Amino acid sequence: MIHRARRASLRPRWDWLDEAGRRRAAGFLRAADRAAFVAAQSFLRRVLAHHTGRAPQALRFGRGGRGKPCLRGARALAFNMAHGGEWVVVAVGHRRRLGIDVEPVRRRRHLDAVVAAAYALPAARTLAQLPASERPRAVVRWWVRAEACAKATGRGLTLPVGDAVPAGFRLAMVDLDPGHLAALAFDGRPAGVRVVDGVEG
Amino acid sequence: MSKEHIFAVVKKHLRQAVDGLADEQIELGKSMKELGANSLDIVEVVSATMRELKIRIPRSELSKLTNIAGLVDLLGHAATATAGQPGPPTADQAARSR
Repeated sequence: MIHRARRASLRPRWDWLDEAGRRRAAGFLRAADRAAFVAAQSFLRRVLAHHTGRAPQALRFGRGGRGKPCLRGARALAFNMAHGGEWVVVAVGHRRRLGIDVEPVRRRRHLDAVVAAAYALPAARTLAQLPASERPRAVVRWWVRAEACAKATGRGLTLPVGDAVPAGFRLAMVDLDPGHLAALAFDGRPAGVRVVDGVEG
Repeated sequence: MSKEHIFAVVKKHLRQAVDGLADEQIELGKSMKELGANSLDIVEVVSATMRELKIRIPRSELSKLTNIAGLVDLLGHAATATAGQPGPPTADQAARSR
């Protein structure tokens, strides 16, 4: 299940942050970025509170295999959160490995340098054959799919980006709006991906 | 190539990639994420900087970077290594060696 929310609709709950969250929030230079981070963390807590029946501020996080965030006292509940542009998305599953990424689609001044530096040759060739107007979207599509896989496996994104999907994993694109792309990667048997707005939909 | 020059180029591309970021806000001790860059912004800044400075950094080194100072240092080392290597022979040198 994926919970999605527009960042503007979220209320950042500074009082819900733990020590690690407060340290990360303090690292952001600009107030708007700090607030966006806290809003995303707040939404994650609301979603996990809904799935566990616990109060959002009472949730305690730890690190599982490969350093992936996990919920103390609810290890069977898998989750992953991403925020980018105007959206925050939280993927939740039971006893699965999953990863999600979201990025805004926008024109980039140095898109060709990005592709040359970070994309595998077959991907770069495919991108070069697209009309220029379609390239920004295609670049982001490849990126969110690769990031989702990296977050699902816990191995971190390794360049170059291509279309390889780790063995045993599947990918699904997530509907947001024309200005954003999001991808979900998950292991195990095929499953329908339900997308809900907010916590309860 | 001085580290000041490298930092100036990094700052230029970072300001272009992240809306509303001012030059004086970009500090060496910060990571690009802390300045509001997303993951693709970071790739754009690094790749555009490498292209402008004609420096290559192995992809494996890029994933180890934690802040802008690390990126500037890495680019500085790569620039020094490139400067110390003999370049391709000029047309004159190739002709004299025959």
